[in-house]
Amino acid sequence: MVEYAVDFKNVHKAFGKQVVLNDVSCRIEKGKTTVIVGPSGTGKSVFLKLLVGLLKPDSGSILVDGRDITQLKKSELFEVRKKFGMLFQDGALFDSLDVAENIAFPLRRHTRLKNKEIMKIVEDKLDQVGLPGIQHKLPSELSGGMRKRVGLARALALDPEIILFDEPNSGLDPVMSDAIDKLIIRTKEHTKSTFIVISHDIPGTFQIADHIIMLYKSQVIAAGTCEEIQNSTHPVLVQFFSRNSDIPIDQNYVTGKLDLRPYVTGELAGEDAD
Amino acid sequence: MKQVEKVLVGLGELGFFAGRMFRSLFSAWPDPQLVLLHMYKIGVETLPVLIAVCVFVGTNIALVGYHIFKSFGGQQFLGAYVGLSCVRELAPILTGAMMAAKPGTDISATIATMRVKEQIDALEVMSVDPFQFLIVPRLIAFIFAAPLLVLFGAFFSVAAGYFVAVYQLHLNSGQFLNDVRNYVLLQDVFNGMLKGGLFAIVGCVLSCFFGFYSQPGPKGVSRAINLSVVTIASFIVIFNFFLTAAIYG
Ligand SMILES: Nc1ncnc2c1ncn2[C@@H]1O[C@H](COP(=O)(O)OP(=O)(O)O)[C@@H](O)[C@H]1O
Ligand SMILES: [Mg+2]
Repeated sequence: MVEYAVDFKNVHKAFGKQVVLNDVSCRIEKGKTTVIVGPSGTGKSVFLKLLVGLLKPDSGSILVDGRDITQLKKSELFEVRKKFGMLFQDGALFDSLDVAENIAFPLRRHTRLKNKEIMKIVEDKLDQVGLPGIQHKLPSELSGGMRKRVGLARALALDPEIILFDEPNSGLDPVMSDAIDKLIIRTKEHTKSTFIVISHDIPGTFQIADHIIMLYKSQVIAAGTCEEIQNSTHPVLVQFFSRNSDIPIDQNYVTGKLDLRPYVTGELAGEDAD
Repeated sequence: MKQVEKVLVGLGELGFFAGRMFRSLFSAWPDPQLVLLHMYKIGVETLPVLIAVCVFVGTNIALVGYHIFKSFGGQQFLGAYVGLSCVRELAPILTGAMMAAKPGTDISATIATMRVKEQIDALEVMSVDPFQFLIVPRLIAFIFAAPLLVLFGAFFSVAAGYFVAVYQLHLNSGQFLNDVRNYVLLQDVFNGMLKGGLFAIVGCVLSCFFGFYSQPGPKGVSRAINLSVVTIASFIVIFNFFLTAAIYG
């Protein structure tokens, strides 16, 4: 029997008059890598934020391991969130803490481990993301790709059951982007966790995904295995995966030329219009 | 109409935010070490500027007062004048203003940057309450630091006034000090500390609020800083009038 880690049931979310997710239902299989693709601005980040309870849906339910997180009190939600590790678009490392303390942060807050044990875990996680020995660097001294790797190390620190990636490839050059995909695949081999990845990087999507969910115009228009999606004749899918620019994919993401992401297309971008 | 609506919504949000801050103050106790760290930072950041400003305000209060009192031969009241105006009004106001200018802008810049770079979301996802971790420690530090800073401000402004009176205007040193002692009551010092504390709390709430709800991008960060300084400065001056009216009539 297939087990589902996440189950969205008829989820509806709007900001004011702008409907972002309209009656979205989808299930994400436990222990697999599911990639959510779709043009920018369709609500992929909103999807993730609903999943971790940073936003509340207007209606519908979101089950995490069978538990509806939309009905939980704050303290219960904090408990559920310990199942999650999340890699944010730019890593979201704390600027004032060095790399080691960033990775140690969730460990210090949620475990009773001794400092020595924590530093051992930090070392292991840094090895795992391919950045050994950078414990004492500050986030500002790292490149964008390195920050993402450290962000991943932090997300992995508590060995979460579900790991979320918000556009791990955006703003990276093709080589670094491929390296991150390989890292995701390698990390997947190490853990039994469920991976949920948001991505614009089309070849990468097929490389890492077990399942693909396509969001388009506020709705799920397709969900299935890589093969099913690749062989689909749905016109939007065909266009999207052939990189046809007739549908509005944000060029900044696709070319990876601009790394102004937090300033241009961050989650709050909709509020930019003063 | 749109602007009015925006302001009203903003005020509502502010009320809600302040409510959550004070509830967290009692329900979500922060790490005491964080509180000490912030107190230390506030002290280091604020004391030098506060002392500098208070010294030069004290000197000018003495000069202005002297020229007024001299015209009707009331120089001997200069000590009372300098003492009361500094302890009751200037020290609390300047403390509030300097705390808004240094640690206050630091708060709004830090929190706004964390918001913009998704670090606040990251805290939440790591099951760490941002109020407990970011905001309450700063609020507690402000509450404890402000009255002490008012004391420093009052001392240095009065002392500066004393030096001007004695060494520049050649007034009698004993007379000035007696004046201060007779007219400035402990109650005045206490009221000044209370006022400074209130200004600091309001400043801290506003700095946190504008940072926490920052708009995206570097523009958002600078806007947050701007808004908090301007709002706090105007607020302090206006609020001060009502406080003084309420306390001293
Ligand atoms: N907190 C918010 N308030 C208002 N609008 C938002 C908010 N978060 C996202 N949006 C809007 O929702 C839409 C989807 O955003 P997002 O999920 O970030 O898209 P993407 O698929 O590129 O990640 C965008 O139009 C954005 O402006
Ligand atoms: Mg996004």
